[in-house]
Parts: sequence; structure tokens; C-alpha cells
Amino acid sequence: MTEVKMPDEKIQSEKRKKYWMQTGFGAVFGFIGALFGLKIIDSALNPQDFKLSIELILAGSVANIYACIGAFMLIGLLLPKKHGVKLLNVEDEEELAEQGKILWGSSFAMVAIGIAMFLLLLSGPDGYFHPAIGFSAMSIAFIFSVAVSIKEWPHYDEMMRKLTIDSTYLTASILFTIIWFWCSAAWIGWIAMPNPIILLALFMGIYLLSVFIIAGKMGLTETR
Amino acid sequence: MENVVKQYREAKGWSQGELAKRLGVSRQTINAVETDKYDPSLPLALRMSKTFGIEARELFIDDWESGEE
Repeated sequence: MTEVKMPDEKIQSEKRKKYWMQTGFGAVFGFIGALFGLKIIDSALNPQDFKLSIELILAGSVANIYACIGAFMLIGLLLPKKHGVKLLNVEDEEELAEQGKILWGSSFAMVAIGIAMFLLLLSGPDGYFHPAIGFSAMSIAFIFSVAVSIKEWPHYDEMMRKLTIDSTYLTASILFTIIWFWCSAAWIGWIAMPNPIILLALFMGIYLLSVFIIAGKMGLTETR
Repeated sequence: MENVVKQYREAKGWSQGELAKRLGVSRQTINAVETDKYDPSLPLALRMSKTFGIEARELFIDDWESGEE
């Protein structure tokens, strides 16, 4: 591999470009995805009885984040030269090819989880789809994600394994605290019991948040 | 834990990618170790010192001292 030495100023300017490209893509994707997702939920459910509840907004947003991150990664992998290096925070195409072993499966899994969550939100007693569709989609997404994790685990190096384990530990700690107080207060009648879709969205959302926190501590979110 | 991995790597004229390949880890791991964001496992620390042909204690700086005389 040939390393091209660049002056510090040029490196900083490249890093700034990369940072703004990642942020810009994230913001645009997130905004369009959120609008699109909420619009689908809004129009698919019975408009007369429909209220965009906090549960739907939270779960819909989590579904949107998963689907958008997955799509974001897929674009980077499909167009390594054009966008991949800048979007996926790697140094060059060679590194992207190395990371491809673990990124392809994960990106498809994230898209699948996001879509399944949307289908679940649109299913149910008064939903647009038959309840079995939402449940089947969630089951397929779960099995697919577990299969991807098992297949990718041998390709993880020790830092990636630590990232996964630490993120899971952080998720469990945060959720344990939330559920501890929420359920205690709900049991004595001070607040409402946790809604199942909120619990699911919390698990999914907090796991993602934990991954970002741990990845940040390991310096993986810094623009390279 | 602080370390001088970057200095030894550069002295050998290796890129982060090259060192990562020799050690069987990702470039991100080398970058995280060099910037003190990640402490490698004992097996990886030993592999690093072997790769540079030095002792592990020359590569990783630990200020801890035993209280015993």
C-alpha cells in the first residue's frame, strides 16, 4: 500500500469535508426518513381514530433510525469510490473492503429491523396489515439479525468484540434502571404501565445509543 | 494506558494498515491503541512487542508501583 503524505492543513480540510458529508447525509436521510415513516403510519392507520401517539412517534423514529443507518451503510458499500470512504469513516477503499466482511450483513440486518418495526407498527387490531404480517416480519428480522451476528462474530477483532460486549452491558444497565423505576411507580399506580411497543423501542433505541457511546469512547466516531 | 506503539511503528516505516495485517486486527484497533482510546488485551500486547522485537514494558507505559518495599 502506498501512503501519500499530505500537509496538515490539507488533512484537516479533508477531515472537515468528511465530517460535514457524514453529518449532512445523516441529517437529510434522517429528516426524509422520519417524514416518510410518520406519513406512512399516519395515512395507513384509520384517519378518524388515529392519533399520532408518543408510542408511535418513538417506535417509528427508532425504526427510521435503524432503516436509515442500514441504508446509509449500504450506499457506502455499494459506492466505495464515490461515497464509501467518506460516509463510513474509513481511510481508504482497502480498509472499506476489509470492513466489508462485517458491514454487509449488519447493514442488511439494520434495514430489515427498521422495515419490520414499521410493519409491526402498521399491524395490529386496528392496523393496516393483518397482525400476523407484523409478527412474521419481526420474527424474520430477529432470526436474520441473529444469524448475521453469529456469522460475523469470527471476523470481529478483539476491539469489535469488546465494543459489542460493552454496548450490551451498557444497554442492560440503562434499561434495568428505567424498568426498575418505571415498573415500581406503575405498580403502585403513580404512572401507567410500560407499553409493549415502548419497551421494544427502548431496547432497540438504547442499544443503538450504547453502541455510539462505547464507539465514541474508543475513538471510532472521530473523523479519520 | 499510554504507549509508544506509534513511535515504534513509524520507526519501522509501517502504516497502520500494515501493522494491523501483521497482528491480525483492524486498522481501527491500531488507531485506537495509538491514541490511548483502547487498551489491547494481553495476547495482543505481547504480539505487538514481539512484532517490534522489544519487551512489552518498553511499549506500554505503566506508572503503577507496588506499595511493598
